[in-house]
Amino acid sequence: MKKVFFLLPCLLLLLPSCGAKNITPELGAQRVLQAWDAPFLCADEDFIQSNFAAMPPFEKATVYLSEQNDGTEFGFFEITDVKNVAAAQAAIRDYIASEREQVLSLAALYPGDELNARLARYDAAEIGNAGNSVYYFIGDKDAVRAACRALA
Amino acid sequence: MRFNRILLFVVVFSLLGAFAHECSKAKAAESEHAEAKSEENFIDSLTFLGDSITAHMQQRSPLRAEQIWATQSRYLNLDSRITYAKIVAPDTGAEETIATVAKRLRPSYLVITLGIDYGVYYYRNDLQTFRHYYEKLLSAILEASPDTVLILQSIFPVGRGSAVITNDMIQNANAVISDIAAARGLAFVDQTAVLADSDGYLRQEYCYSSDGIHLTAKAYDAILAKLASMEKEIKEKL
Repeated sequence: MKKVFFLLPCLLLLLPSCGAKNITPELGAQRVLQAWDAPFLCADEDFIQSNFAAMPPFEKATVYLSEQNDGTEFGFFEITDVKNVAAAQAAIRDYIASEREQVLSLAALYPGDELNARLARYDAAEIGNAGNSVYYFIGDKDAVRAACRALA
Repeated sequence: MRFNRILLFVVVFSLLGAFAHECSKAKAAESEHAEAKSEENFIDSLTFLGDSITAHMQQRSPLRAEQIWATQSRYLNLDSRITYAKIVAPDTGAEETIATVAKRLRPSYLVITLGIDYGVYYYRNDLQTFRHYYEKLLSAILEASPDTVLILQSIFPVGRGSAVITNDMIQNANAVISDIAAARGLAFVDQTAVLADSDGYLRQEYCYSSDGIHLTAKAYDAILAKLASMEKEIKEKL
């Protein structure tokens, strides 16, 4: 019994934070777009290469940027080696940190609610993986939860 | 009799001389007027794209509203999202990407002043990336509107009140912009000498706010005068 109580939390910790199953970037993007039901544009390859230069090798990637507000976005990366999941998530964390720094520097010049809201979106960000598909969601808390549910 | 003829000769020549002088004066005045008109027409033909420093031309310059392309929030980052950034289209009021607006409106001349928001500071140690995004924007605009003549304007100096951005950072970024202009055969308008004092800071009379970045109406007048003076040079690039 003690072993069960010990093993169960360990198993839970190993699960991806959103509880998502294996999912391809295309399918993942499709589900999130349906869940968020808002206009997004698909970022080009240059955007992905520029912002995720530290990402381990990946087969496919897709990043979507909200057309309604800055800072709401999501992305999926199908990395070639599942052993690189942690490194991929670290690359995404670095990206989010640099985006946050950008907003902070802007806020010094243009203090206001809009930039504060954008900062809050970075704080609500979720990073996870489904097998070798590493993903991130940046948005309002409710939107991020909805994205996670869409992947489950 | 002979004396009368000489006198007549002198009078006629004096009158002719006076007439010629008046004609010359009138022509000079006409030419000056035409030049001023031409400069006015040239400024009238310019469209300006940029961040808040450009956006404020709506309030502090004689330009028409439709000559100014800016975002709703006034800030326009020179970063990886630059081609996705949305400006307020002057014809519809809708928020659209710069390329979309350029494709529809096809401005004759587009004066671009970019970098104070984010680019200059964040890429201060990575000018290659600064260049990459600057050129990405230029390419997107030219793809949308190939006949638009792009005029790259230097990033303006900042005043002593600027907390984070320094004039050294700006000079480095301007060197990149100047190089881009040279490589692409575009005009580069360097406003530094116009706006800076002897220490390289934005002149006090041109500082609108304590942040040392935003400009007064007098500054915009000086900027437009410099642009007008470069009409010939800009048109030679065509």
